[in-house]
Amino acid sequence: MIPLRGFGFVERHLASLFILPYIVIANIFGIFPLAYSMYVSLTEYNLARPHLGMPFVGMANYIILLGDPNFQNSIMVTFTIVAGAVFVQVLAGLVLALLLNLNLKGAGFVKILLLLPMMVTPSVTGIIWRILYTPTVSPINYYLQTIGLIPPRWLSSDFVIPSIIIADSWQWTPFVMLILLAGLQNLPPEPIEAAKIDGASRWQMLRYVTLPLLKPIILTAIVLRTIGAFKIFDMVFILTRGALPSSEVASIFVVKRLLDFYYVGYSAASSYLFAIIIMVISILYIWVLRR
Amino acid sequence: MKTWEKVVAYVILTIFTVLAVFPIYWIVLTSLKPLKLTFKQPDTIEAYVPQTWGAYNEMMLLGGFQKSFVNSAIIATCSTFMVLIISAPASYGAARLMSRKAGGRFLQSLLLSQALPGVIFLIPFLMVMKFFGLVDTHIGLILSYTTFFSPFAIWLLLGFFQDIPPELEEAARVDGCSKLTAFLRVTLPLASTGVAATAILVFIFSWNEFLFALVMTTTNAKTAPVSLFTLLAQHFAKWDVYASGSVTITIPVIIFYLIIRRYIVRGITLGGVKG
Amino acid sequence: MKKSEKKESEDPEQNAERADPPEKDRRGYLKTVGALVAGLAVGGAAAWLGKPAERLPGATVTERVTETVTETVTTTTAAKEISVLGVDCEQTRKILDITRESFEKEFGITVNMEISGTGEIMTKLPTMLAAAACPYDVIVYPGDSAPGLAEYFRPIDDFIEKYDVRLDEFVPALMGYVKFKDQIIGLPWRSDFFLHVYNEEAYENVGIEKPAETWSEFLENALQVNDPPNMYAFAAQGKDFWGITQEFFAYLLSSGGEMFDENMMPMINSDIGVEALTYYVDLFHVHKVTHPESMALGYMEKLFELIGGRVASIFEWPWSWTEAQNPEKSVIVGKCGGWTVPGNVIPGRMFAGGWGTFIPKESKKAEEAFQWCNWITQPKWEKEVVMRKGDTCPVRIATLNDPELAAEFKVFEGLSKSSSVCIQGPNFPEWNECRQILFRYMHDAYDEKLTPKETLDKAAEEWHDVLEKAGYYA
Repeated sequence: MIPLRGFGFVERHLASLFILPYIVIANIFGIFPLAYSMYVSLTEYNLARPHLGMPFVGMANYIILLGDPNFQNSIMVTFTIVAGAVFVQVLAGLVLALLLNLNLKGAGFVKILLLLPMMVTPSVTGIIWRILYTPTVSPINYYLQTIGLIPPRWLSSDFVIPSIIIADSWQWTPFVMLILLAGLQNLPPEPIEAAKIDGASRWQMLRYVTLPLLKPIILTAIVLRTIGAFKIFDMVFILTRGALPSSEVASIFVVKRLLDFYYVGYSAASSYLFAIIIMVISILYIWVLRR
Repeated sequence: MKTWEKVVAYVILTIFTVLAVFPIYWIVLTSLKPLKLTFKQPDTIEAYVPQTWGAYNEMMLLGGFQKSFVNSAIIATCSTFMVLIISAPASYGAARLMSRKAGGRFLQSLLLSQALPGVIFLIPFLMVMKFFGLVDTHIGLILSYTTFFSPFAIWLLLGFFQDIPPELEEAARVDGCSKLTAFLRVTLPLASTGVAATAILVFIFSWNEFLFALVMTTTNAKTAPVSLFTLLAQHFAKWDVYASGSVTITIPVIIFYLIIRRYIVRGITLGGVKG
Repeated sequence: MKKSEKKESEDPEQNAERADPPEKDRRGYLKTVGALVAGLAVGGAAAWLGKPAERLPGATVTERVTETVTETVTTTTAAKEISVLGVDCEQTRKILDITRESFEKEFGITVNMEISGTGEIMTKLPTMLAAAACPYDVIVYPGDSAPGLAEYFRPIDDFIEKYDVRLDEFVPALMGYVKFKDQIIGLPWRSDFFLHVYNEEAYENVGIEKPAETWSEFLENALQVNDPPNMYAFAAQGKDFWGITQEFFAYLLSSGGEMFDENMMPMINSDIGVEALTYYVDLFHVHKVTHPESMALGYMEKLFELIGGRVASIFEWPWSWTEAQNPEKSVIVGKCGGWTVPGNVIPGRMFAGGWGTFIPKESKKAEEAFQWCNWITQPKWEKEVVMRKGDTCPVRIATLNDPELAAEFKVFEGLSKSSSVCIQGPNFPEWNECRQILFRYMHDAYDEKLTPKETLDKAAEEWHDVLEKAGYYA
């Protein structure tokens, strides 16, 4: 079908042709909606009053957003959840990766079990944890009460952030564990051998050899999970539908302004503002990573 | 290793394993228990034993679940193919064919697009779909997912393509292959494991996608997670039916993940560290 | 793995071999091409399957064979067919039954109904309507959110005149949701009157025969029937955002308060408002008659506490009474009463909830759609639906006061009384936002972070800001 020498025209412009399909799709379905929604963010389009049209208001939405206590709260909530989640996941992932790397008996089987939570659809994770967090049907509450502890009010405004962090960590710690484990298994053997010969104890080796060598992979994991955690939506939506301020993460803030309050322009502006903040942080991380 | 150290290691691993597996066990159990038991305190052995398929029957009866399952399968499969067809050449182009600068800039733009929460696009997307007459069609959703997941696929494939030594392609070109043929006959087969891994990951993402499927489909192209949400949004606390729906949706994903778990990490670390 | 592969490829001989075994190469090549072709085939199949309904003539007709086929031969099937987005409840199912039995034959219009959950409908519809991408001819939508989308619905004054619909036969409070700027944009479909739903047995056991009429009476009864941890007198639901706010409104309105004054200024922080919120917070913290988990309960869980026999009273909409009659879930079948909410001035004065049927502006079968909407609220069919146990939510005054229904369903007495004193609910697009604002502040009150007065003052202030921004105080 395709001759060995290829078609001349195709050959010369291969790079462009290869990129072309992606560019076409990205333009129609990516750039146009992007541009349109950017324009909308500069208007005051109210879904409930279409007869008012889309009056242009410039940066007004953005300015109001910056002063909106709900927006500030949402940023705080999102950052808290991301920070907490990444911290828990990287820590637990590291511990698990180190333990699995010891290659104890049965480690392979345990690894598969530990990977299961990552394979669950995020919406389903929401349902699972909703069952576990609803007082009347939760087995966790029952177990805690049997031991004599008072179960926390999982989905109350005080505790919903830790609850979300727990559920998210349950789902994504295996992911971090996988990455770190692969990193551990790909470490160059020489430094470790050298340290053993020098008589280093296990803890010393961990602290002075393994972890420093693992640093780039750890940072990769942090970056990946940070970007991922910022976008959390499905699970939180099913758990709480964002009703309480403490559970109003970025995506929920945007969706709620759009679907419940009908402020389309405001919603679009908020999504861009969130995006800018997330991108700034991502770029900072990458810069740190390259050091 | 001293014995007590081993014991500590085992204990910690066991604790984490129980934490990981218990929620899954619980939801599978909930789908196999009569609803009344779910509301009772789980203080008898009866609460821990699977008993009845009732929830699954009810789930099948509650209209549309089978159809949405089929829809999900179709949409995920086609999205995967479309993504591959578009991303493989693009990724290869960035890896080999473009200058370093152009390639770098292209990849950076991809990375930035990852950070945007998808909700921004809801209404504009819907308008574009309506313009083409694609609301509530399979194609509409397929095209949407292609747009969403191509950047990720390009990024992931990058690592795999860069892993193939250029000498092989050079050798093929020396033998008289054009660049295009070299790509098709040499690179792709060699990268097939990476391509397969990417394909399966894209399949999983398309299968799991929720918000856009919710907004853009009604009867015709409703996907499985949306069906699940419909179940949830109904009146009464039918935990067993929600659980059965959840389990049904998750099974294909688990199967696929088990197939590719080896390759995910390679792709991500390669793409992350090198890119 | 990575390193060993690299090492192998340094070997030039192996290199050459790997680059050029023609057999293997061709197979790999064929595999890729085969996969592409298969993908295109699947894609094509999906495209064919996925064509929107209108493009394939007759494809939307469902599996049922109706007698209307002969009638519709001369016209295209699309003309005499409407699609409805219905909400999942017994009423919808029974209406679907009688539609298939009677309506389709009588009018020759096929009705394709898609049944969906409340949450899903409310998430999807705004975007669909805004993008003008709504495929339904009739939408069943909650009344209190309908004003937000009112501009997308077709006014039906012309049909009302043409078909001589007697609007005064509907409970007046329900008409509020279907009016917009002096036009009628829909018909009431389902009524919801706020009720005091209670466990009769629990009260009889402590010697209380009738439900409370005033709020102080309610507190007295609560103290008597309260028996933790087996029986709590009351349960609230603090999880879904309409929960704790509803009860608050019930107290406020039934005790002589108002939510807004005639200039749309919020009045929730009036003295009566503060009294109302203090009452509920005290029930929770001082008298301890409220189920302690209330703030985490959703509306379903709250109901299950009642029908599981662990809670004596809740304030809920009539669906809860119907659920209590279901022997599979409820232990208080036949022992569940439904009466008006207590009130210091006018017991039962609360705003009416409900759902209405609306026709999107872009529907091309508006008249057929209207015929259906009108038909299902006819007295005869309304009663039929209720008799078939399709919930107890009729919209006509006559049906609510029908003695037969009252004899069959105990709750009708309470419904009837409630319907006679209820008022029209808030009817403006920003209502959703206002409710959510109040919900958040009330949580702080229940958590004792703010006093009731502070809570309501802050909420009222935010309400004021929202309404001002929307232009109500011009």
